[in-house]
Formats: sequence, C-alpha cells, structure tokens
Amino acid sequence: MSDFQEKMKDLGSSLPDSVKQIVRKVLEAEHENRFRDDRRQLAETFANEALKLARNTGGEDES
Amino acid sequence: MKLVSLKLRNWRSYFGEHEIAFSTEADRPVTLLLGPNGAGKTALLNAFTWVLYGEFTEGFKVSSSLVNLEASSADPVAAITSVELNFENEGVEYYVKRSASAATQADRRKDIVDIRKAGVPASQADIDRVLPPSLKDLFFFPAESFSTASVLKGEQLGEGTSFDISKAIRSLLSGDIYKNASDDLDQAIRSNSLIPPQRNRQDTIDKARTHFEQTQAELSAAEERRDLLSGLIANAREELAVAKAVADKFDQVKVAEWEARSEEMRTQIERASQLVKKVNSAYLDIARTVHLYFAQDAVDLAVSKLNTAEQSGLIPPRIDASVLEKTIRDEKCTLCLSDLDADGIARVENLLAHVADGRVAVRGLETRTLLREYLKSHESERQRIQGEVAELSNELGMDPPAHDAPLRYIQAVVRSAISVADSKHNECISQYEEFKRSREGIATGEPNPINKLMDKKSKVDTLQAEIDSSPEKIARLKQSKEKALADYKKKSKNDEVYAQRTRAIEILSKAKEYFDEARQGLEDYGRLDFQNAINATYSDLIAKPYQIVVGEDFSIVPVLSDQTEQEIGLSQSETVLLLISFLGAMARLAPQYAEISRNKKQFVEVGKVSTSKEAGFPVVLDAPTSPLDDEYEVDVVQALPQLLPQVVLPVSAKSMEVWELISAKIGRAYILELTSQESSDRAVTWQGKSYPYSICDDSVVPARTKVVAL
Repeated sequence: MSDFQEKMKDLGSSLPDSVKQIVRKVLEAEHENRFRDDRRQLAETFANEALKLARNTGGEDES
Repeated sequence: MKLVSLKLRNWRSYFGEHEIAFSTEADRPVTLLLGPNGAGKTALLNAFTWVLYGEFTEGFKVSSSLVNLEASSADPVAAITSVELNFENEGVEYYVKRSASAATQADRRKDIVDIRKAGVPASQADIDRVLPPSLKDLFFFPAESFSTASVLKGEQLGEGTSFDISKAIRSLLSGDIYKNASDDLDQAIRSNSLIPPQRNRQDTIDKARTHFEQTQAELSAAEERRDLLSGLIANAREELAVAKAVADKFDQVKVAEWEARSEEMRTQIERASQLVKKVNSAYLDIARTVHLYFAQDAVDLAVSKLNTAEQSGLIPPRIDASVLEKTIRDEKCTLCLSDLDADGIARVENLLAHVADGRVAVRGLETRTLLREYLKSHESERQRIQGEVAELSNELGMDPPAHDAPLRYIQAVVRSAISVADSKHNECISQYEEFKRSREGIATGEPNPINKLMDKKSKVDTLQAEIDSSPEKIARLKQSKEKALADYKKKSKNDEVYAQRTRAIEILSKAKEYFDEARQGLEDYGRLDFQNAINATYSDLIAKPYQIVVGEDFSIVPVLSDQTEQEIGLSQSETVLLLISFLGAMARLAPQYAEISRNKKQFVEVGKVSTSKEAGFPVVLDAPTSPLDDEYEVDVVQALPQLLPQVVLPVSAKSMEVWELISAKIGRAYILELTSQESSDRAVTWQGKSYPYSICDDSVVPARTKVVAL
C-alpha cells in the first residue's frame, strides 16, 4: 500500500458513518459536475443530504 | 497522446490553406519547422492554444488580429480564419476546429468551435480532460520563456517561468474535483437550510452560530489565499528574474552594495515596526492594570492613616473593654481592687469610650495588614511592567523608569516611548525612500532598475514568508473553528431544531477536512513524482552527476548528487536542458496521471509513479536554442529527441548543421517560407538539397508565409 493510500485509509476509517456517506455522495456528484460553472445547487444538495443524515443519526453517530 | 495534424486557413501571416502532419514514429519523434524571424513560428504555437482553448501564450502580439491581412483586405467583414487540429489519445481520435471572421476576431465569445471525439460531437470538457487548460503554457512553450535572460540567470529555476506546477499536478490528477468538493462543502455549511427558521431562533445559540460562521469564513479565506500563493510566487519570481536581468546590466559591485544596503534598511524598518507594536502593547498592558494605580493611591493613603493612628497610641488598645466595664460595675479597680470614687469612675468611663474606638481600630489594623498584602501581591505586577518598560526605554535610547517608580509614572514613560518609537519608525521609512530615490550610478532620466529589483525581491520574500507561515496560521484557525463548532453544538444540544443543524454542519465540516487532506496529499505526493520525473528526464538528456531537488514550494534546485547536496552553477546548455527537463517531466507525468485519474487511483498510485521517454504528452517548443551561444547548441539539440515520444520544434535555420546532427530522429520537416518586401533571398540546405527559406518580393504586401514540406 502506498504511503498516500495508507494515510487516506486511516483518515477514512476514523470518520463516522454519516460522514463517510456524505463523502461518497460528494465524490460522485463532483465527478459528474466537474466542469459545471454554477455550483450553488450542488452546495444546497450537500447541505440537505447532511441534514437528512443528521436527523436520522440523532446524535448517536459520534466518532 | 499524439498530435496528428494541424491545418491553418488564413491564420495570421499564413495566407490560404496550409497543413502540417506531425511525425508519430517512435524512433523519429521530432517534427522540425524551420522559419526565419517574422515567418510566424510564434503564431504557429498560438494556433494550438487558440484552437484548443481560445487563448494565447504570454506576449503574443496583436491577439485581436487573427485573420490574415491579405484575406481580410479582400473582405474586411466576412474573411474567415480557422485552425483545425487532429490528435489522438488512448486510441480515440479527437478533432477540434475553431473559426473566426474578420468582423468577430477580437471577441473570443464569437468564435465558432467544432469538437468531435471519435467522430461524434463532443464538448470543451472532453478536450479539457485530456489537455487541462492549466497545462497550456507547458505543452506550448513560447520562445520568450527560452530567450529571456531570466531563464538562464534565475537563482532558482521557476524564476524564468510563471508556471504553477502544483496547479498543473492537481489538474492532471483531477485534483480540481477535491478542490471543488471542498469549496462546495464550505458553501453547504453556510447554506440557509442549516439556519433554523425565524420562529425557532434563540439569541444565545445564534451568537454561537455567528461566531462559528466567522471562524469558518476566516479559515476558508486563509485556505483560499494559501491556494493562490504558489501561483503568485511563481509570477513574482518571474518578475524578479526579469528585473534582475535588467539590473545586471549595471555595475555588479554597485548592485551588490545596493542590495545589501536595501536589505539592511528593510530590516531596520521591520525592527522599528516591531518596537512600535511592543510599546503599544505595553500601553495596553498598563491600561488593563489601571485599577492598580488607583488602588495603589487609595491603599497607600489608608495604610498611612492607620500608621498615624498607631503612632499616636490610639491603636491597639492597652486594656480590654470588659475589664473597664467590670471596674465601673463593681466601682472597684479590677487590677488592684481599690475602691473608686465618682471622679475615678468618670475617668474609667472616658477610657471605656476610647476602648470602643479601639475595637474599630483593631479592625483597622487587620485591614491594614490585608492592604499591605494586597500591595505586596501587586508589587510583582508593577515590577514586571516596570521591567518591560525599562527594556523598551533602553531599546529606544530613553531613560528607563526607576525600579520603584509608581505605575502612573511608568505609564507616562510609555506614552513618551510611543512617540519616540513612531518617530524612529517613520525615520527609517523616509531614509529608505530617500535611498531608493537616490540615483547614484544610474543615468538621470532612466527608470531606476535597482529599485525595481529590490521591490521585486521584497515581494518574493514577503510571499515566501507568507507561504512559510501559512500552515501554522491555518492550523490555528482550524483550532478556533473546532472550538467554535463545539461551543455551538453544546449550546444547541437541548433544542432539537438547532441540534440537527449543528450535527449536519459537523458532518459537512468533517467531510470537507477529508477532501482538504486529499488535496494536500495530491500536492505532497505529486511533488515526489515530479521530482523523480525531472531527475529521470534530466539524466536522459545529459549525463551529469546532478540531483534535482524540488522544494515544498516547487522551486527547483540542482545539487551535486553526493552527500553534500551542494548547490551548483550550471552552464547555458545545462540550464536550458534543465528547463526542458522540467517541461518534459510534466509531459511524461501527464499520461500516467491521466490514467490514474481515469481509474480513480489517486490515493493508490500517486507518490510512486515512474516515467519514461517512451510515454508522454507531446510538447511544442518554440525556438529552444535561441538564447544559446553556438558552442552550447549541440548539447541541447542532441538531447531533444530523448525527451518525449513527440516533440515539435519551430526554430530558425540559424545553425542547420546542428539540426542535421539529429536528422535521423526527425520524422517530418517543414519550412515556413516567408515572402515579403523586407525579406532577403535565402535558402537552406537540408539533407543535401536546397530549399527557399525567405524571398524578397516587392509585390507581396503584407508578408506571406507558406508551409513547405521537406
């Protein structure tokens, strides 16, 4: 495993599940919208996703 | 990736249609384009950048006049210029055509662009994925960057170019995705969706949220500034190198003296500025302890009154009141038991009245003890302030306050110190301005290049200092943000409407940190790959015992590859080859990084990429040997075919015998034949045959260039 990979793996595994979910969704969305100019909608989408996750976790998902 | 062909129609001096097919043979990687000055070599370079990006290289003159003048004079409105480029990447053919009319040529928005990928209509994004725009200046390298003295005389490579390597690496690795993610998450944190509706708002929690948003904004601003710094310092270094090249024309000893004196004076200004800050800080310190000297006066007065009372015998009482009361009651002295008459009782009653005062006096004595302890405990504070002010006074050449000086006096000293410090600071600044204005050694009337050099150096130094302090600043701001978020979370915990939003912010914040780490990692590990690539490329071009060290700011320094890592001075050809290696390293990394990006293996592969000359993006190097003396040309020319699988070289026919040395590596050769009133009739010999190179023809106005295949 490369040093970089190990570093990011350690970082990733320390993240709570809710954060991991958001990271996956953000990564997918960013690849799809890589050259998009107007990014306001993306930011709103991420905010709403995080709010949904926050409602579902209800404070249990602590790292 | 391989360039296949370039077609020009009425492009600048190229009247009519012209086509260049590039050599794509592995063992004959060079396409040579021979043209005299004014033939349009730089215009040819810009044909690439225009067709691909609608942009031009730095210094490209009259970029609003693209249509060939001969064509546009025949039809000033509808005459068209177009450039068509065919290239191939990963087995897929790409076609890009850009057109502009004489009427619209100054406005890029009116260009007509046709892009196809594998014959199917495609978009600019498809081009950008293969050839990121941030790499334009790398793949299409203008002569100015070779021919200015800055390239050869910069202290560090990178001074001659404004190329932002870290940005290039991020582009190739799709690092912009991580940057976009970080920026978008930052926006998401500030989204209105995460602010509770008005009816649910609570002041205390809102204040905590506002504080968190402030810390978040400060952190974002610092991160944004950090991202800009590498580009800013690259530009600043280029400007410095240019300024140095101009200043070098003057007396070197004088220049060195000026630089040393300038550095000394800037240090004095900085020192004076620090002193101003210190005295102002001392004033604030005293202001915070102002209660001490008010208290000191009051306490001193109280203690002195109590001392007087004690000296007067009023305190402490010599006899207890209970004894006197018993004496009055019994009408008998308690001590000697003798009877008291009325007079005696009256004297005892008078004594009793003073004893009652004595009880108060006892409390006064107790109070005096407390006050003395208070003074003692704050004496150390006074002494500390006195010590600091004494030190400042000495630095400013003033008389320091006495060791036992009261705070009021110390404050007066500080007020004077502020005036003195300000005055010294202003004096240092005006002396420096006067020094800069002086024209010793410089001809009157000319702009002062030495001052310009020093200003540019100062700018580079300032930016470097900012880069050096940036990690610590960002770490500190991150801590503040974390603290503010924790506080917001704590205060919103009992209100579910707030708590949900705080949890959402926390999720987004942690996700942003993940992408920030990824971005930083791409840069850190990408730097390793780049260092390895530039070393591999340089050793392919020239056999020398040098190691190229790439600094954290992507500066490039050649050192001897032994244990000492001693920095070395390079010859002209070694320097130009180092610059070419720098370009070649990026071009070799490019396809590797493109594959890594395509397979989303950034974390897996970056940091351990190896490169070779067999795989790399093509580069177009405009006149790479132009700054070289004849004796150095051979080294550079012979090295070029080792660089990449495809190299396009617009050059002049200054030294044909040198280019003939690598004829076996040249797959295609063309002459950019120039015809004009001003040209002379010249021919070049290539492989034993003579070809027209430039033609004098009075009837040809404006100048005309024709592409002729050899």
